[in-house]
Amino acid sequence: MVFFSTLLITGTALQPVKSWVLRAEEMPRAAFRAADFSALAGHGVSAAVLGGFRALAADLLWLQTYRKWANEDLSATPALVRLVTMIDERPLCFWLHGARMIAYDMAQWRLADDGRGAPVPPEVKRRIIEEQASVALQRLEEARHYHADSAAVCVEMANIHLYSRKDIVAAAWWYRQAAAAPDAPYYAARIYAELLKRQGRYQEAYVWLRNLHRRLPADDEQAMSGVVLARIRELEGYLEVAEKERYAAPMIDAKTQRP
Amino acid sequence: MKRAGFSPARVALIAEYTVREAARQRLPLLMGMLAAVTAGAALMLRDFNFGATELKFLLDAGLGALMIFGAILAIVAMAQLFFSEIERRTVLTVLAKPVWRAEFILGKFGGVLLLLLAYCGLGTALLTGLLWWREAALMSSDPAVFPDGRRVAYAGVALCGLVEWLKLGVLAALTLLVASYARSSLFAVGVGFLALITGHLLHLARDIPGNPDSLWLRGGSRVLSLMLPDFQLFAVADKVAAGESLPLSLVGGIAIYALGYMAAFSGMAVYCFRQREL
Repeated sequence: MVFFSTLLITGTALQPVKSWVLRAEEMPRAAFRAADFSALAGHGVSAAVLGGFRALAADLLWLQTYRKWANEDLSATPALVRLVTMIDERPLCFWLHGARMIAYDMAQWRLADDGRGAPVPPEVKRRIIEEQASVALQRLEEARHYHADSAAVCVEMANIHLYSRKDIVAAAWWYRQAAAAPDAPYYAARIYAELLKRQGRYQEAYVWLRNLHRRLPADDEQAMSGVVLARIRELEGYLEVAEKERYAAPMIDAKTQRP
Repeated sequence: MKRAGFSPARVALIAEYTVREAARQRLPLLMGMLAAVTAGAALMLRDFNFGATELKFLLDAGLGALMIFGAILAIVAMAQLFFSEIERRTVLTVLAKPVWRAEFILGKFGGVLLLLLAYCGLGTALLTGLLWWREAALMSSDPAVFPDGRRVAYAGVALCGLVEWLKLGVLAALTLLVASYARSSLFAVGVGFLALITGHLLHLARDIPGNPDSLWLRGGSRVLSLMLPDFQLFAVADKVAAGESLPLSLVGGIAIYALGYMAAFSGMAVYCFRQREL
């Protein structure tokens, strides 16, 4: 009784400190929740995770994931992909590669299983691809919780919308999000413009590319400033923009190689 | 006869003797090996790294190893050093002199805390050296990745070592409490490891109150989360690995939490030991 009372009094007295520390430590991390913990059972990683070996446990489990993926294991692959990101949510590659496995590879495995050599009806094919894309997009939505500013996650979501779901509108929206991210690759903004064109929104694409070109460094090959300018000219021709209203490419400073 | 008052000097003497006893039992040797394994394991295991950058991985694996081996040391050393006195009957000789039982318990605990401090200090220093060496190598091979100089927050790594020591101190105090009434060191070691696992999973008990259907479960989990120390509170390595700074106020809060539990556990251990027939 003395034990219980002392422990309860100590716990109650330290509760405000505990709450304060928990608030101060608060950072987005995939700490195991009660509902998730059962998923760890049988994978031999519980002890490692409890001990603080999150990165190592996740890496070893990722090896196991690859093995299941190579064996085209439909049930184990997505479970392990989820488990890896649950153990260590920090590396982006687990989220991105996992989403690709689910969206593209698993869709093909299911199609091969369903068809058994015979052609799969288009509506079934569409449904399977849609289901897999949806699961992959859910995983990437979860990734955004931990990597809110990551352009790579937005690009991945855009790619799944574009190549799996063939949804140009959604893909364009995600490429635009990627282009606005702090670590945005140059190509995200270019692809966004291309997708606007594919939707017939030429004027918007033209304005977007004009604004984009002003910001591009001339000395960076990846920025492909020349390609963007060529596309602007192409659109000017298509939109029949008057000569005096055409985009005047900014003069490049010889020293800084910037407009 | 006038009874001798409580003496911190005697506590310090017993703590010093405990450290010497640990040295006789080759515990520092084991400790040194564990610290070397801590650093070496982090270096070797980086080949398994797929996700994080090498430095983050080294930090994560290094601190993880420091915690695992440290927990083993805290539990085993505490139980071993306590029960060796009882089994060899030297405790009777000590307590026949004007030494309080409280002084004996606190001295034992103080000695183990010093051992753990040495372990954490050595382990953190090795890990810091390893990170410094690898970072320098990476900086010279790929300077573009380090435009602003070194990236690892070494002060944060040192604070992680300090937080680890506090956590191991709580674990040692808990093991001492069990040892103070247990009849065998095996039992104390077993309960110590069980407490380590429970303390790490205690945050799951925080989730259970969300389930409105089970009143007993809610009440039980609430009581459990109040009674035992939550070791997830000490998981600050993620912050440092993410490149964030570790505020001193946060470390201070963790220290208050740890010291509170250490005081409660050692106080209860004194109470149990005073009731114990030797």
